[in-house]
Order: sequence, then structure tokens, then C-alpha cells
Amino acid sequence: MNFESVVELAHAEGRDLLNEVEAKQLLAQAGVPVVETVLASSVEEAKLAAEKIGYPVVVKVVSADISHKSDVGGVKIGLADAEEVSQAYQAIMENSREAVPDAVITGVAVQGMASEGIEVIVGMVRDPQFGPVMMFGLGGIFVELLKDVSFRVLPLAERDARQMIDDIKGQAILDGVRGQAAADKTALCQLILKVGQFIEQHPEIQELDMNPVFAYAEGAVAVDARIVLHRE
Amino acid sequence: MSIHSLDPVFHPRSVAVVGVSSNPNSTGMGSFYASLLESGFAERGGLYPVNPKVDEINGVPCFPTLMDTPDPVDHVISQVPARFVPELVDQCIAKKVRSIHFFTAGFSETGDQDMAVVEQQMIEKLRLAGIRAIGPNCMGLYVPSSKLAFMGGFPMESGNVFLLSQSGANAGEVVRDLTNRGVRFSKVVSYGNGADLRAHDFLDYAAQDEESKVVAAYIEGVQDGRKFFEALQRCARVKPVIVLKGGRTQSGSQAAHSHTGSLAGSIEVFDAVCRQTGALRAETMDELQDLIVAVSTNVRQVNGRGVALFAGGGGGFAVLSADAIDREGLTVPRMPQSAVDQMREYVPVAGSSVNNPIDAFPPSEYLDEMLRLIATAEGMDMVFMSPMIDRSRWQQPNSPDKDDSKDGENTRETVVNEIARQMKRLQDDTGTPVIGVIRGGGMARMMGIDSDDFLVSTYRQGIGSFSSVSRAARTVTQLLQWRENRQGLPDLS
Repeated sequence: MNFESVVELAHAEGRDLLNEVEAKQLLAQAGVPVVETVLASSVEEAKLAAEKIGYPVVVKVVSADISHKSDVGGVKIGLADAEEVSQAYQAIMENSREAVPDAVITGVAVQGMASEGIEVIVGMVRDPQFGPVMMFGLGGIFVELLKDVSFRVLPLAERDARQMIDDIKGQAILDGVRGQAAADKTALCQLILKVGQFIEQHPEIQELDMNPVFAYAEGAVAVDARIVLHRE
Repeated sequence: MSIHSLDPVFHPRSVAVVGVSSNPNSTGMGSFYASLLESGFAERGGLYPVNPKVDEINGVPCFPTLMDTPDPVDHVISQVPARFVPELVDQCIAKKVRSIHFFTAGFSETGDQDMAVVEQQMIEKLRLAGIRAIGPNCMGLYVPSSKLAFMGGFPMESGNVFLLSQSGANAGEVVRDLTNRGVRFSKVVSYGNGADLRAHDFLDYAAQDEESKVVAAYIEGVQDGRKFFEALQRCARVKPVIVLKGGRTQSGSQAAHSHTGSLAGSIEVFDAVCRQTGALRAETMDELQDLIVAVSTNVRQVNGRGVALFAGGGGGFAVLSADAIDREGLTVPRMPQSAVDQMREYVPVAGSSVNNPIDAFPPSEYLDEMLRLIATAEGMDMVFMSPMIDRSRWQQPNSPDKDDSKDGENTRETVVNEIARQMKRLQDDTGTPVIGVIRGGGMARMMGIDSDDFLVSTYRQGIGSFSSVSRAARTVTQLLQWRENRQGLPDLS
């Protein structure tokens, strides 16, 4: 699955939004560390994917019509075996259809359980004056409340990526609170630079969010990702 | 030194003011001819008023059209209504002028599509003829070394600050306010719509202009984001650049599909541009002016956050000042015991404090020694000093002064100059930057000191002064952050 074919498919289906699986696969191909995620459109496919990834797994609904997956009961985590995956698949389908009756459901995303890290966000938006602008900040569900984020205009130098991290007011959180290990800032810096290069290669991308990215004592990995394309 | 392509724009040999008002005494916005008479341009080069409806201005004949003026005309100031502009453009081309400044408004800034097209077309025409344009809808140039001024009352002494401003009124305000603080300008350009020459052109010029040591900009919208970014980067590499961005808008994101889209407002992105390029961003007009003063003076040499505050003014003022310093990101370290003990030899215990803040007045013969103790005490990276410390002088500001008076006249200015020299001496002797703080209004008046005089006198000594403790502290903090942020860029200190 290369970039062009994903974009072509999205356009053919009238979508501006790439689904989570597409977004993560493109990012993975660009060398950005993401949690392995596989699309499954049946119970059998979901079970096979879970076997391949290794238990425990997370299963999430994939639908262009459902953006807040957990609100509709479309996310099940900590699934330990094939039986639990099977039950989760059924439940997610029922919940989603009930919540959004006319939603077109592509299937489910099966992904490995990433061990918890410090939640950060890495994103990009095109500014009307300055073009692509990268964002880094404290991530998770409160990102828009905390607004502890920093921006830099592309292309990024290593100095820029490093300063984006240093600009965050909640440095104490990145340094690890309550016994949590400090975030690997070098890994975050490399991740930001990789995403920046990916964006520069693909002017079709209008917006990107990776939220959360888990930062660990060593390394960092994107747990969720969304990509918005230019409207045709 | 190579000659920059915009040099002729800033140094015209002759100017024609087309559409000149018949009243030479008007001094408001757009009284260009009167301003140029006042600034002395006529003694330097040809100054030609043009208006078919006016015969003469104060005995100087007025030319009916641009074509009737003597050759050469380098620079044209257009005050004609927008409908006459196309004809004037043709005349400028025939007359082979080098630059034209359109005070004339009513083009793209109105939002009228047709007028935006007219603007575009006239700029295209001028460009083909090799004529550069400033504006439309702006005040144009103030260049003391070329005797150009766009308003009356601007000093004709040259300085080192280059100011570019999208707004003419803001440019005028900065010039007037900072003139009162002793600052002088190398070049000021108000460029309005920026149909031809834009912010990035002026930044590039300022970067290489030897006369300009500090660059300040008031920006509302940026037309070529990428070019602006790169020009700002080039300029900020070699000179301090301070940018005030007006007009906060939401992001242009399609419909904020993403968190990033909804968080990236125009100010946030502009702030990022400044950090990335190594420029300083001011958030208000006061900050812009304070930062210009700061980068032009000893504030640039401050190397830490510890403030020794020697401001007098009473215990309550000392407490509030210490709070303000702390709030703005600096510290008020305790005075080391050894210094406290030594100061106690000079000042009595009652009614004074020699810890930090220092609220005490020694007899004047001990003042220098006490200041030296304060400035050299451990942990003090700078001294904040107010002019009201010199009790021996301010107690009786109108009495004849033994040392300075020539004609039995002890002017306030003399007192202030003496204090400024004292601050400079203290700094030279100790190597600790001494920064001035003046309380305005009633307090300063009671002390017999004019705060503007103090600001000017200290500035002339290379000492940065501010009109409150909190503004001083905030400005120092911004400069320290700026220096930290510039890591990896050339050192400007």
C-alpha cells in the first residue's frame, strides 16, 4: 500500500480523511514509529490479526462517519485471546450501528497494546501565510484544554525540533512525575523530524494529528494517527 | 560596501509632491510638503509641489503637472485621489522617476475587487519600467540622513533604529514616543498595502544597512509567508529584530479536523516564526518600545536574573517592586550578610532596609561606596536604580546648586544628567549593568524630576530605563529568553 494508492482510494470514496490504519501504515513506511495496526473486516480476520500481532490487543471501529470512537462504545482494550477478540468485534459492530445507524463501517483496527508512556501530541496544519506548521505538545484527551503546545514552520532543523520540546511549559510532566520515567527527548526529536520530512514529501496532506504518542524512557511510539487530505 | 537596489528609494535627490495641499501650514496626516520643508529637504535637493489648482505656496510656484517639473525627479509622493493615479503612473514612467510613494488610499485595502485589480495593474506597469512603489495607503519614508520626514516634529538627527510598519499611525507613534526616550532612527518606512515593496524587501535592506543596528517591525498580515520567513531569518542572524504582530485570527484550517488545526491560531504561528528565526516578538506597543530601548543599551549585557533593587520610595513600594520583579521572571536575592554589615556603617537602622530591596539613604558622601557594595554583592546580576535616590539633590530641586549651576540656575535636567552619569560610573566601576526605573506622574514631580528627561539622559549614557519596575523586569526577562532561544544562531551580544 503506497501513498498514491491510499490517496486515490480515499478520493474515490469521497473521503478527505484517511482512516487510522491507512494513516499509521503510511507513517510506518516513512520511518515514524507507530503501534502495529491491522485492518480486519470480519471476526476471522480480526482473530488472525490478533494472532499475528500477539496478545493482548486493542480493537477499534474504523469508519469515516465515526470520529469519537470511544464515545460510541467502539473501542475495546486488553483483549487476551481469540474468544475475547470475537466478542469484542460483535459488541463494537452493534454499539456503532446503534449509535450511528447510517455509518459506513469499514471494519475494525486491531492493534497491539502499547505499554503506557507519557502522552504527547505531534501534529501538522497548513497555515495560510507560512505553509506547513508542525505542533508538539502535551497530548491525550485534554490537549485542547491544556493548550500546552508549541509550533514551528517547516522545514525543521534539529534545533527547531529540540526547541519545540523545550518550549512546553509542563516540562515537569516530560521529565516524569509520580515515579514515571522521563520522556526520551532525543527519540521525540527524531520522531518530529521524521514526520516533518514525511509532510514535505506529501503536499496532499492538509492536517495531521498523532495523539497520543507515547514517550518512554527509551523511544516513543504513535498510538493513534489521523491524516486529513486536501479537499479535491 | 555594495549598493543595495533599494538605496535610491531611501536617498532621493529630488522629490515631487503631487496633489499637494494649498495650505503649507497644515501639519496633520498627509502634509508631506510642509513636513519636507520643515525637515530641510529643499536645502538638499529639488522639492517640487504639484497641483493644477494651486498657483503658489508661500511664494513658491506650484507646478500644474509632474511633467512640468525640472529634471530629474527621483521620488514622487502621490496625494491625488485614486482615480487620477493611472495617469500619474504614466507620467512617472515618462519622467523616469525611481520610486513612488502612494499616500493615496482606496485600493486593495477596501476589499473592492476592482480596485485590487487596478492596484495590481499599476504595480505591474511600474515594475516593467523599473520603478519601485511604497504603499498604497501609507505614510512612506522618514530618513533623517536624507532629510525626508512624513510628519512634522520628527528629529533630523540620525540614529540606529530601522522601523518598518504596515500602519502609518503606528509608525508615527513609535517615532514620537521613542524620540522622547532619546532613541533616534536610521530609516522608518510605512508601507501600507505593500503592493510592490513588502516587509521582506525592507528586512533584507535593513539587514545590510550599516546605519541600522536594530530592526523593529509592526506587521498585520504577511503576503509572502515563505519570503518573509526567510528574510526575517537572514536579518535576525545579524541584528536584533523585534516584531509586533497586530490582528489575531483563527487558523485557516479547513474545518479544524484536527487538534493541531484548532490550536494553530495566527499569533501562535507568528510566535513560532519569531522563535525559529531568532527574532524578538513584542505583544504590545509598550513592549515593542521597551525592547527597542533594551537592545540598544546595556540591558543587552545582563547575564543572570538576580536584581539588586535600589529604588527608594518607601517600604511598601519596595515590597510591591520585589513582587513585580519575581512575577516577571527575575529574582531579588538576599543581600549577603557581609554587605549588610558594611552598609550599616553608613545608614542608621531606623526606617530603612539594607537587605534587598534596599530602601535606605546614606549621607551623600557615602552614596558611591554603598552603591558599589550593592552592585558587587554576590548574586546581583544587575542593579535597578531609581533617580529618587539622590536625596541631597532632589530635596530642593529649585535651589541653586553649588557644582553645576552656571547662572544660578539648577535645572531639573542638570540633576537628571548627574544621576545618569552616576549610574554610568557605577556600571563602569563594577561591571554590573545598572538599569533605570522611573516612577511617572506625581511621584516623579514631587522629586522634581521629569521622567522623560530621565529616560533621555540615561539612554544617552547607554543605560536602559523603563517607566516601571515591572516593565524593566519584563524586558530583561524577554531579552534573557531571547538569548537562550538563539542558541545555535550567531551571538549578537
